[in-house]
Amino acid sequence: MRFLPSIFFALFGLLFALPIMAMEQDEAAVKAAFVYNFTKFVEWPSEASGPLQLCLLGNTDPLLAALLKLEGKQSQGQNIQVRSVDRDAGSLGGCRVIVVGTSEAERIAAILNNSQKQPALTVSEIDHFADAGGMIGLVVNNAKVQFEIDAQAVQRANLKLSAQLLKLAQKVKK
Amino acid sequence: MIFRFRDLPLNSKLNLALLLSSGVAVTLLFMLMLMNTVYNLRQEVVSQILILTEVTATNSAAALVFNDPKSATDTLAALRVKPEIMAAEIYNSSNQHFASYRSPKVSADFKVEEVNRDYFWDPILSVSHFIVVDKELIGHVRVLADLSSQLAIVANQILALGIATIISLAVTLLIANRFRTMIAVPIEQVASTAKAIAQDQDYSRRVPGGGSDEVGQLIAAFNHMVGQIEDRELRLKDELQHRQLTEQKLEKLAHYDTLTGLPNRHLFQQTLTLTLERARNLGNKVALFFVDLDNFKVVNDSLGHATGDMLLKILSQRLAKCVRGSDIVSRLGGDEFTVIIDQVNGTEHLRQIADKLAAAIAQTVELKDIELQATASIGIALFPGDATDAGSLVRSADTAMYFAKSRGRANYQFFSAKMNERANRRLIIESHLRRAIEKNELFLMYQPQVDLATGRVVGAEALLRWTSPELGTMGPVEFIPVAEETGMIQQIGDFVMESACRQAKRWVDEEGVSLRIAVNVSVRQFGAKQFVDNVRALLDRTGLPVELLELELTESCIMDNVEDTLIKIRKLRELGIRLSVDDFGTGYSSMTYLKQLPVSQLKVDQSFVRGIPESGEDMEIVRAVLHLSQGLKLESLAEGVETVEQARFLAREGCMIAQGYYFSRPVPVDEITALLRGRQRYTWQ
Repeated sequence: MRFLPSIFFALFGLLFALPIMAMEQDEAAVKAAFVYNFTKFVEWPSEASGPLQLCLLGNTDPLLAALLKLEGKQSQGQNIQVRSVDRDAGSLGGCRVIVVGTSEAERIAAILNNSQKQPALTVSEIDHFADAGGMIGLVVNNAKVQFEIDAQAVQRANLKLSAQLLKLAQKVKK
Repeated sequence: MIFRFRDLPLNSKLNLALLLSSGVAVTLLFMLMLMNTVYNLRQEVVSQILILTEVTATNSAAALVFNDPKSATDTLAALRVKPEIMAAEIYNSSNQHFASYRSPKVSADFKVEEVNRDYFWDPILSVSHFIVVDKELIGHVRVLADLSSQLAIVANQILALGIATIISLAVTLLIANRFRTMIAVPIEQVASTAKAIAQDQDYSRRVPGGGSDEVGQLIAAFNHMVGQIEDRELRLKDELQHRQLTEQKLEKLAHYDTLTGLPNRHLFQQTLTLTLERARNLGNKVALFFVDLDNFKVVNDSLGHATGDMLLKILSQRLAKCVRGSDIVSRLGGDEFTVIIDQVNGTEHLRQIADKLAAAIAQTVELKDIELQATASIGIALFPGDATDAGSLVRSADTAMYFAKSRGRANYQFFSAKMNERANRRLIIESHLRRAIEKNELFLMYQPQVDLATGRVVGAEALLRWTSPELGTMGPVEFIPVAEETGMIQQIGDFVMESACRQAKRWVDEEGVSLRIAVNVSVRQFGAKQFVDNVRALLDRTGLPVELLELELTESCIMDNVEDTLIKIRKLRELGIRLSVDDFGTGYSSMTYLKQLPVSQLKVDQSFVRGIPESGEDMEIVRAVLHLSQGLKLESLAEGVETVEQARFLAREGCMIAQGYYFSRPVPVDEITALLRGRQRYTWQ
C-alpha cells in the first residue's frame, strides 16, 4: 500500500497546478478557474452533446477575458469552446455554460429567461445572481472567492450538481 | 546425556508418545487458528480503513479543487467513527499539505510523515489513496491507524488458546494415565514377574489379573507357560532321581550277562582290547576261542526257553571252571561264548584247552526230568598270527567256528587264511547267484531212477546246475548253502520245482511217458508257512498228475521242527504227493517219528552205497535200511550206484530202485528225453 514515489506527485502537480493556483493571482483568474472547475462537477442531460461551449455574455471585463484562456482545455473528456455571444443578435443555442458579465447586471432577468431554453449552467459574478434566478453566483468574502448556488434553478435546467459542490457552496438556495 | 527412548520404561514411553502426539496436534491447531485469527482481524480492519480512506478521498476532491481546506478538514473529521484511526492528511497535487485530522488519542504535534512502515506485526497501519477529479490527479489522502487494540485481542486469544492447550494436554495425560494402568501396568507386572522368576527360579509365581484383551491373553499365556515350566521342572526332578537310580542299576548290568553272570559282549570287547594291547607290548601271544553250541535252537524250540536257559547257565559254569583264573570266559549272547587265553604256550596247549572245553560241554546235563547232551563247534584264532586287532581276531575265531560247523559240528578248528578265502568265495558266489537267477543261468539236469526189478527207468531226480560265465560250472554243494543262508533258496527252490513239474508234464503230453520226478526240498524252503499251498498251486498251474511229483526231504529237514513237519507232511500226503527221506542214515532220525511220518520212500545215502562191497559196515547199514523200509512198507531207493556189483548187491537185498553213474549220469533234458523214447532197459547180471 506504499504510495508511488513523491517524484510522481511532483510531475502531476506541475501538470495540473493551474486550477488551484494560489490566491496571489488576481481575482479574475481565480474566478475563471472556479468556472472551469464547476464544469467538472456538473452533469448535463444526455441531449446535450458535442463540444463544451462556454458562452460569454456582456462587455469584456477581466473575468470574461480570463475565461478566453480556457479555450481548448478539456473537461469531462470534451474540448472547451469559448464563444462570445452578442447581446442582441447572438443565439445561446448549444451553450452549456453561460457566463454573464458584470455589464449585463440590468438585463439579468431577460438573459436568464432566454437561457432557460438551454440546459446551460449560468454563472456570474454579479451580486445576488443566485438570488435573481442564476445558478451559481461568484462572491468574494474576505478576499476569498466563494460561490452561492440556486439549486432550484439548476434543477429547472435539468442539470445536476455534485453534492460536494453543494457542500462547498457558501449559500444554497433550495 | 544421551536420551535413549527404547531404554525408557514402557510407562514413560506411552506417556511420552501420547504427550508428543497430542501436543503436536494441539500446537499445530493452535498455530493455525492463531494465524487465521490474526490474518482475519487485520484484513477486516484494513479493509474497513481502506474503504474509509477511499470515501474520504472522493469526498474531499471538490474541497481540494475549490481550495477549501476547512471543508476538507470537516470531511476528514468523519474518520472519528473509526477509533483505530490516529491521523489523516490530505495533500494537493504538489504534495503540499492541505488538510489534516488527529484522533483525540494522539497529541497534536503527531507527525504523520515520520510514520513510514508497514509490516505484519506493525500495530501502525498506513493507507493512502489518490484524489482524482475528472481523471486528473489532484492530491492524495493518507490515513494512519493504530491496530494495537486488535493485536491485544489477538494476544488475548493466544492466551486463551494456550490455556486451552495446556488444559487439553493435562486432560489427555489424565485419560492416558487411566489407560496406562490398564495397559502398561499389567505388562510391567509380567516383566517384573519374569525377572523375579529368573532371579530366584521360583516357578510358583503368577501374574495376577488379566482380562480378555491382548494384555489379558498375554498374562494368561505367560501364566500358562510358567505353569508348564513348573510342571516340567517337577517332572524333571523326578526323572533325574529315577534316572540316577536306573544308571546305578545299569552300571551293574552293563558289563555282565544277567543269565550266566559271565562278562557280556561289552566287557569282553574292552577286556580283549586291553589284553591285546598288553600282549603287543610284552610280545605275548593271545588266543581267542569262539564256542558255539550245536543245535541249541532245537533245544529251545522243543523244550522251551526255560530249559534252554538252564542249559546255558550250567554249561557256562562248566566253561568258566575249565580255564585258569587269568583266562576270561564271556557270553556274547545266545549260545555264543568266548574264551580269552592270555599268554599262550603253543598249539598243543590250545588243543588241550579245546578238548577240555569240548569235554565239559559234552558231559550230560541233568535237569529235573530230562537229560541233555550238548556239543559245541569251536573256532580258535591267535594274536598276532591271525589278526592284528581285537575286531579281526573275533572275526577270525568266528570264521574258524563256522568252519568247524561246516565240518559236521562237534569239533574245533584253528583259523587259517584259507578260511577267509572260502568266506570271500562265498561272497562272490552270493553276488553272482543273485544275477544268475535273473539271467537264467540256472538249469536242471535229470538223473534216471531205475527199477531194479525190471531195469526200466521209472523216475528221474531233478538236479540243479549253474553255469556262470564268470565262475564256470558251479556244483550245488558250493552254491546251495549260500542260497540257503541268504534266503535266495526260496526263489531257486520255486524255480526248480516249477521247471521239473513242467518237464514231467511235457513228457506225459509229448512222449506219453509217466515219469516220476523227484525234487529236492531245502530246509528253508520247506519251513516256509505257505509251502504246502505253493505246491498245490504249482500242481494246479502245471497240470502234472499229483502222483508223479516226489519231494525229497533231508533227515535234518524233518527233524528241525518235528511238529510243524508232521503237519505239513500229512497235508502233502493228503494231496497225494509222494515224499522221500533223502540221505537216510546220515542223521540221527528218530525211529518213533519215522513211524509216524507218512513218507513213501527212504533214500539210502550214497556214502553207504559207495562202501559196497569193500566195507562190511556200510553193507550192514544198507541192509538195515532196506530191511527197515520193507518193515515199514516203504519204497527204497539207493543212490550213488556206480558198479555192477553194487547194483547186484542192492537188487539181491531187495532195494527197489537205484540211481547212479552205473546207469546214467545226470543228463540234460534232451538226452533223457531220447533215453525215454528209446525205452532204455538196463541190465546188471
